Amino acid sequence: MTTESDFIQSEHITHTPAPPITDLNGAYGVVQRMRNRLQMAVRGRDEVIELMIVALLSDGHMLLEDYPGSGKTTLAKSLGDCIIDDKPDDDIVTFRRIQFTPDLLPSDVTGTTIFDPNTNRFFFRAGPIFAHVVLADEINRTSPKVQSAMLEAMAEKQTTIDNRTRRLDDLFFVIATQNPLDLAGTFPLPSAQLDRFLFKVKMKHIQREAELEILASARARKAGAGSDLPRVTRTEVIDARGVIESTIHVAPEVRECLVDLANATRADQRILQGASTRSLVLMIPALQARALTRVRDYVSAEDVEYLAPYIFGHRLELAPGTDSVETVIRECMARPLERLARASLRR
Amino acid sequence: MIRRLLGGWRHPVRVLAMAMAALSLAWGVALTEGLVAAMVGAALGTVGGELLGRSRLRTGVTLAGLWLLTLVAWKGGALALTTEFLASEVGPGNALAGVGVVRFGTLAFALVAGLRAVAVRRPAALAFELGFIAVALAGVFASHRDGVIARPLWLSDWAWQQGIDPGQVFLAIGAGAVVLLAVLLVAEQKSGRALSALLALFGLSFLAVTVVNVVGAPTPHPESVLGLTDAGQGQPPRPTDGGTHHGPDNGDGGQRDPRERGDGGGSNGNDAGDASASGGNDAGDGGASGNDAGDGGGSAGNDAGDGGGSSGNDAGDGGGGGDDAGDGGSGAGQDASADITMPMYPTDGSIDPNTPPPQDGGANRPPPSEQLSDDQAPSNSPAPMAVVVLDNDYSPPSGAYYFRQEVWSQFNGVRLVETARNDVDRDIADEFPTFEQRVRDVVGSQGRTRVEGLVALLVNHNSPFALESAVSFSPAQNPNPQRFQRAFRFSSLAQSVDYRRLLGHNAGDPRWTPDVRTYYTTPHPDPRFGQLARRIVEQRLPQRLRRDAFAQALAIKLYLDHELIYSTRARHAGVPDPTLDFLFGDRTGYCVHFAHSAVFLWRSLGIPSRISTGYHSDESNRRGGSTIMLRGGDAHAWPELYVDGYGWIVLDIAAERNLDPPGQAPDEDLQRILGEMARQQPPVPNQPPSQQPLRPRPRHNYGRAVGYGLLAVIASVLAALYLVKLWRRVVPAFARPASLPRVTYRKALDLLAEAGLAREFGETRERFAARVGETAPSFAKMTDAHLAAHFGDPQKREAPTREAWRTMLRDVAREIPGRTKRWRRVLGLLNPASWLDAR
Repeated sequence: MTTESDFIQSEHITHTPAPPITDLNGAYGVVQRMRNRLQMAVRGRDEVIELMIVALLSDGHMLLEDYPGSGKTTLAKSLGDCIIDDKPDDDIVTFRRIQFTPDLLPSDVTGTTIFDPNTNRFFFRAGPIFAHVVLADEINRTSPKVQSAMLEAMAEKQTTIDNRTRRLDDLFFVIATQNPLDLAGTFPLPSAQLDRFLFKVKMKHIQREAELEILASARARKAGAGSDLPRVTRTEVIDARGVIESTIHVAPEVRECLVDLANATRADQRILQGASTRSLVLMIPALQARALTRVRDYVSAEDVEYLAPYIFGHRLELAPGTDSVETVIRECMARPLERLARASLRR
Repeated sequence: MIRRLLGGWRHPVRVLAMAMAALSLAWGVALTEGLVAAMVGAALGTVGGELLGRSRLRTGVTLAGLWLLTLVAWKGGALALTTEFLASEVGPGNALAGVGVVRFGTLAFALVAGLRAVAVRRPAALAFELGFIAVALAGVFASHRDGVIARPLWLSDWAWQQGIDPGQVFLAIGAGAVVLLAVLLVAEQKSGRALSALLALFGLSFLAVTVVNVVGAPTPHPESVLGLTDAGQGQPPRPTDGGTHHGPDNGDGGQRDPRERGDGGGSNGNDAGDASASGGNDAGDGGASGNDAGDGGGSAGNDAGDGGGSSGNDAGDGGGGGDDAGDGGSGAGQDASADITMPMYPTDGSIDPNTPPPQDGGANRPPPSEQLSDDQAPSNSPAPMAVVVLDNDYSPPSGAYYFRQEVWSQFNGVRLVETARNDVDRDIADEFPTFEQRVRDVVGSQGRTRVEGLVALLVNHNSPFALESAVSFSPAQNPNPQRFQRAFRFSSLAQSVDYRRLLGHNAGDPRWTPDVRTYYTTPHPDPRFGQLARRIVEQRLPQRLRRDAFAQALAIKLYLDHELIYSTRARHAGVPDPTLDFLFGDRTGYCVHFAHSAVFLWRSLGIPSRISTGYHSDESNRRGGSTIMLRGGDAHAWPELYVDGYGWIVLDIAAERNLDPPGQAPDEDLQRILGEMARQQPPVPNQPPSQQPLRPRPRHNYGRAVGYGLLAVIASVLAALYLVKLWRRVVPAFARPASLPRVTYRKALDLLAEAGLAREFGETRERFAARVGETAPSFAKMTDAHLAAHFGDPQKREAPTREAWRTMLRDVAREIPGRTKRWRRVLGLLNPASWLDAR
């Protein structure tokens, strides 16, 4: 069947297929193209863009916490925009946004079966979750029932509707947001669900210069500036994931460092619940992706230092009355990082 | 945890240290109120400086403001003192105190606040703050530089009394101060290396203490007197010129030596000096001395002594006639008033107008001492002056040892002084022996036994002394040059005959010429001496003994024993003839008065007699192995008469009544220690050194062993550090290609470390490279290559060539000098441990 969105996208299919991604250069090209488009679309958020690309390339999901109007939606939408769906016949679109409300039902997210009087049969109508990039806005505002539906989708890349399991696309990337203000009437995400997110990023207010630039360039962007920049295809992204995983080298010392770091969080008095093993497993691809964005073919201490706060920040449960989680993580990291740094001078 | 502890305490500790530093610096400059104000100002300044340092004020503005504040307070104080307004409102005393409070409080506040404010902004300026504390502390001990250990007196006296070498006490205090400063320093440091620095400082302090044992405690300059004495002043003013006298210097209670005749002349000058020396306080007395100047010299000798005697203790001594000035000094201690007065026989001046003032002194020459001797325990100055070790077991019939140094026999119209003739009093030595030297005349050998001994002088003396009566002197090796000024040996014929056996012998020597006999019997012109003497003889002697010279002398002695009262406070100063004033006055005085009284009485009966001066020590003071420690308070003058065949016989006056407080008993430990030190001298000094192989006793000096051991350890550690440093520097030239990424990068790290750039704990290499990017931009490239070599996939890596590594290293090495200070690099190059920072 043909939907309106399919129609809109069909024009993109005419796009010449890119050569397949087989090496790091190609993978880095993917990164570059996404970065350029996103940076053009959203000013002053380079760090979040970087993290978003890392998350996308490491097959993780991302939780943004910020105030309204700070560019979350624009960012997610731009990401969807820069991915070309080169598999148009699978009913999966590049971008969907779900605004979560307390009265939302799981079927509003996943889709539902509808009776077609013409054929006298039920057919499945896919929900917004069937997309490459899904923006789950204010995810903490909906009921746990809906949240758990999202949970399965994010963890398994599949969803079960009417007792029938349907697969989501390989490139299924969720950007969820939650509003730190007005906590009244919210359903805080349980820690199990928080664990599904690779990163939790607290967006800070952008720099003055960047903000001025946004104001200055608002008209140009409305007019579609940057929309002609090269995009990437779904296949390219998935190929790049494979290349990264197989090519970027993770030294044994780096893995030791991760384990040391996890142990440090578990031993710290200020942390009630330390880092989980799963978080370490998820971290490896993230580190590799990050190394790629830095044009390296190996994971270095810098990657660990950079990503650890985003990866562990929402997973650690702090004892009451402790400082900020960033401080705690930084202190836990010092010793493993020192060991990692010294390792390079050893034979 | 230690650091946290230190961190919590550093502010209180700093406040306290600053307050104490301000107190030390203001001490002696400010009045009590000013001192309190300085302490409070320093404490407030610490707080204020901290606040100023954290404020947004520019450093220059802060300092200028503080300087202005000081200026205003100081000038304002001067203005308030020079105008009458304030003084008339609140009274001069209050005005002075108030201005002192303002001035010193403000000064301390501004100084400390300025230091603190700068230190908050620039941690390196902490050095100035700690330096301020160190200087204040050093100021207290500054007078003890060059190994002079006598100051501050209260501390060295205490140490001596405990039997501890004050040098060790000072070292311990210094080490403690170093540790305290180190603790303050470390408390300020944030980095992890501070703790190791603390340990190193502890080690250094320990090393300092032990190394001093290796090298020996610092020795005083030759011209200064050993730490034992008060030094500089050493020389008591002795009126030598007068020729008359010189006193026995015994007087010096103090540590200084008694006799330096040389000085004679300037008695006043010297005295004054002494005074100040001892206390600093006595300036006032100075005036007094001025007056007495006339008196002079003789006394001066004494005084000096007093001064010397550490002020505290000997106050009592004041006695000596000459003492004036000196006393003044000591006076500070206890008898200021007494001392001030002075000279016992001031008159000389008047009598003998021709003679210069010093002479006068001489004339009077009070002997030395202030103390009397006799029975009384020497009271005053406990400072040891000399140690005598007798070779023979000799027990004097009089119950006391008399060490004769000088003789006064010439009557100058008022008192006895040293003779100007060269045919009398030839039984003493004027100079220290350089070879075995006999005295010119040995008089009398009957009833005497030969006694030999060693004398080790702790302070300079002008001439040697020996147990009466000396036969010969010979030089001796100084057993411990750090403690003793010099040593010599003597051989004497000491009296062994009991006094009763002397009855029936003639006084005087038949071989004397009439002239000499007349000389020794020249009486005092005052007829009362003769009258008194005859009355005593008639009343106290049975008929048959009335013609016997020795019996007459003994009767007079016993009479004087009974009638005279001993007091070092009665100086009979300022009268024309102190002896008359004493004997026919209140009969209260001390040994000099006693001796003159006895001699004048004896001479009025025609008995040849004279006064000897030197040291007197009760036989009970003899300790193990005939060691006698002579102290400042043992200085003495006593009368002697000549008995035919027996020579000069000591017949000392022992007053039955004593107004002085009992003196301190000798410190037995000190006596024993000094005795053992002195005894290291081989007993027979005369043989040529070649025949007398020195066999140094093996001494186990653990301090030295530990010190050398530590030095060796430190030297080898240093050598090892430098070797490692060198190795790391050259190894990239010939390392295997596989090691190049490591050793080349390591060398670059070493270079950066020498320039003061080191990676912090937990800092990643990339972050470090970014941090030093300003100094060495190409280091980042090298870091990437290094990390890629180590963390990259070993199978796929195509490593940079040796040439590429070399180029990278050269780039880094070239960039560093252009962007770091030269002194920083030189220091880094010299620092043996710089490579430890290269991690």
